Amino acid sequence: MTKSVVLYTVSKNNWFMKQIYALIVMLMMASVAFTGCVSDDGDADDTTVDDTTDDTTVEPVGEEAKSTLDVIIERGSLKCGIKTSQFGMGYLDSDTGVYSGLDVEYCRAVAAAIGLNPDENIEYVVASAGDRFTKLADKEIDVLIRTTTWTTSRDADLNADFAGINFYDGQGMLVNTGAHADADSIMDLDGAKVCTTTGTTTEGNLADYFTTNGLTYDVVGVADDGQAMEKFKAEDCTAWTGDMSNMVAQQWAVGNDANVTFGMAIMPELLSKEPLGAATRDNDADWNEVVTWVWYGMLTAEELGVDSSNYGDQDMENPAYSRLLNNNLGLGTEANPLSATWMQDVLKHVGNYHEAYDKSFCDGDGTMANCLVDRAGTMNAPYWEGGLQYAPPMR
Amino acid sequence: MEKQNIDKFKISKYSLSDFLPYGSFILLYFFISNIFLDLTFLNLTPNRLEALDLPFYVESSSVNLVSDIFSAIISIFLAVGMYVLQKGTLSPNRTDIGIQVLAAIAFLPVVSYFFLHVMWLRQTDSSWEFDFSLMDEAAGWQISNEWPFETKLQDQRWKFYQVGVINSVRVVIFSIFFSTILGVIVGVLRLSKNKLLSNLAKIYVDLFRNVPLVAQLFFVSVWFLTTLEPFREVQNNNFLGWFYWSNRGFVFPHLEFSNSLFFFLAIILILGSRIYFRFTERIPVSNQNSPAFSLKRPLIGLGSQKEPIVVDMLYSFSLISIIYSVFKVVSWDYKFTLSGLISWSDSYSIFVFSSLLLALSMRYNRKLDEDGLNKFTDSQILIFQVNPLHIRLVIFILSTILIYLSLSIEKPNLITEENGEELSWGRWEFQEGTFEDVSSVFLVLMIGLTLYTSAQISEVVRGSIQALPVGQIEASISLGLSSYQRLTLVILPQALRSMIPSLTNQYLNCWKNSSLAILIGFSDFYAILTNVVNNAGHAVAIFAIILLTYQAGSLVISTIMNDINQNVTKVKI
Repeated sequence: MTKSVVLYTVSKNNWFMKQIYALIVMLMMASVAFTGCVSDDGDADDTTVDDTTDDTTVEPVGEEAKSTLDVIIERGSLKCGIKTSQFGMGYLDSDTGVYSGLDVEYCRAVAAAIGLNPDENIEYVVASAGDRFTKLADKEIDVLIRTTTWTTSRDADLNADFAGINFYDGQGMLVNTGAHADADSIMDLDGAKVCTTTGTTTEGNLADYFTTNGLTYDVVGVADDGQAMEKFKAEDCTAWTGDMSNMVAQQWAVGNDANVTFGMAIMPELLSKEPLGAATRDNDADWNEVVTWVWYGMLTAEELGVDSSNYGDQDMENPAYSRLLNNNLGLGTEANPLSATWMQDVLKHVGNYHEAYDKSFCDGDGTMANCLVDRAGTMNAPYWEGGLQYAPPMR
Repeated sequence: MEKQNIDKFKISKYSLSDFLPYGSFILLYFFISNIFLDLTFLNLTPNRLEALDLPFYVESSSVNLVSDIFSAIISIFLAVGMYVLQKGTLSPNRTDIGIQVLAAIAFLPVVSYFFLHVMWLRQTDSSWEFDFSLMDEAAGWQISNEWPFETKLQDQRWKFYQVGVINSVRVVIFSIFFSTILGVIVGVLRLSKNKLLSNLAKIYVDLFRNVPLVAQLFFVSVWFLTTLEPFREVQNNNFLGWFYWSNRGFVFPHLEFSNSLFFFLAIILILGSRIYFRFTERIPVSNQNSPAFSLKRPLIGLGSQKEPIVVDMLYSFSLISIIYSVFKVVSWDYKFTLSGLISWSDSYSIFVFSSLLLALSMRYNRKLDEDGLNKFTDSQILIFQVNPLHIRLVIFILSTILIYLSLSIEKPNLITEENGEELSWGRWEFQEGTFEDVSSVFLVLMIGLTLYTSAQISEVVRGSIQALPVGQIEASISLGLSSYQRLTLVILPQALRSMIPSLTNQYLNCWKNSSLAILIGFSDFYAILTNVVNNAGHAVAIFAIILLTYQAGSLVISTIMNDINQNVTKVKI
């Protein structure tokens, strides 16, 4: 006969007593678990202020959640949704693993401004044209800086608030001149087969433009630039439309391929205006302001002639310089205000707008030489040179 | 005496291990339910849910305590209930009730959380509003692959959705068709005694089954783009000027039933003669013992003579109307409204109604088959002293001639110049109305789905064949059947019985895998609707449409397959 641990013996008929006994054991176990939880709460009470305990015990779902800025500081890293296939805006060099481009510089500037180290504490998340707003809304990224055009319906319908516009772009058309030998303008492209990324504003602009001008065309929707490049190289599509900065970069990239035999040209027309900006989630004002003003700070620095090499030598008695370099002007949240030297950090790691542009599109030596997209004379020139890049006063 | 002792001991034994499962269950359940109850009670705090008007509220400071207490009570109740159930002392009836009550209580935290949370989301997040009015707005972009529609920029999003559904459906129909053929062939080859063939089949299966479909699609897509020459070489890549190919796809001659009168005459001739022959050759049965009314045979009152004829006529009529509505398919312009479904004015409703009628008449006919009313003589009954075989031959020739007369075939006309000027190849195109084309993205998706699904199907086929008793094959060998006859007469018909449920799964997978179209730029409805989400938001509502559409397609496939399964397994071996 096996000798097991006998806790209790009852007669055959005493079924009810057994149930009671089982219930008592269950209750004991439950109360152990229960008290465990309670004592956890007790510990929390000791260390935190009373009115914050509600927030810490139950993470409110959908309630006015914490500012993203606080979440980032807590996490210690910034999650930035970018593009990695467009040289000049967001590009990942597959040989060196280095991210570059104006969007990436913006990202680094934001990270520097909130006190993170841009070289270590940024997590780049590749966002596609189709899933970028979903990624933003699902909190997979903190800020979306991915050549995203600011439009009414995106601002109104989607869970996105736009911040600084880092690049004023327009939609351009890259054409295979082997297929369209004498095309000087988009009007010569009747019957063309045009590659475009689905889910972008370019798709709608293309349809608008061709329909308005009575041109027939065939659209090839692709998921991303890589696929469009493949189709363009294989001459499946004879034209490719997208942001002008992108088309310039892609012309350069396709031209680098020795197997490509056809010529290329970019049509002079702009099909649309594409202000490319950063986006944060709706109802996240503090964070949105930080992202916006980092950009304006970089512009203001350019306006004041402050750059990464001379920000330490400025005359702090001068109120304009002092406000820029030694004052956070109330930016940030209650818990995590920006440091007073936030712009110094930005300038140290990234520089002003001029420098960021130079690093992204040109040689990067500060002289704006050999630019892929010229800045002078375009919309991206500073306002005092006739462009659109204008920062509201920082005071 | 000894035995009694043991019995007594068994019942009274309470070892620690008896309580361990309950203890661990209760702990685990406590923590999980606590999470859900926390969130449930959070939604019951004052000033939270506007839609909810409850006589009581939970103070926000006591949410934790209340949820702890509730989850403890529920988990203890559950553990006790489970203990009582597993003892097996309850009557079967009570056990049933007990299980249901326990299940209801166990899922209470999750269910209450789900409903309250959805209410909360709808109150705070506009994307949770189930407002489909955005589908009535203009889509604002354009797509290729829009057969049989012609979409405009100003078209409603509903229309784009229809284009997407048609695209998905046709790619899946073709894929299922080809993958079934390919799968059966490969599955049979896999069992071949020929080492080369069976190993080739094995390699095929291992290659396509083990590589993810996404990778295969990319591979096929690149292969298409690079292997076939670009459109500028299309003049060299043709077959006698009738077929053209390039990496944009294939171009076929335009085929049209331009004279629909002749075409329908031919159809009516064929179907009419079918009714007539079935009428003359049917062996009459005496309809004694037949009930006055039967739900499965509502026309039983007509008598065994007329009833099958009426059913045959219904069948032919519905076939003709289906063909008619498909002919009018290009003018499809419908909305999903109840009134539109009922009105006979448009061909879509005709299609729906005649399909229903066809299904009904087929089912009715099967019932007649079962009841023995559809038995036909093998002897030739002379019609007006003429052998019916000859009549059949005449009808066949006549209808072929009629169909030929109704057809008009256009040779694809490639336009390479305009006003005497040579155009550069980017502007070349085929003249409207002279060609039909199959785009490369359609082919890529179809080929990818076919290869992947056929590899799965071939394993199903192999398994079903191997499950057959060896005696069947031995018996067919001893009957002197050739290996082909063995396959088609003995092996496959029997293997089909166990094959179909698994085949249904593969077909369903094929239907759902078609959503990968978005990766290669084919406009199926998933790609189109995600694009709508990207443009206009309302993700929850749009994804509800996506879910419903996939669900509807899956139900159609499984209904058809279950029907076939019933048919196949009707004969008991």
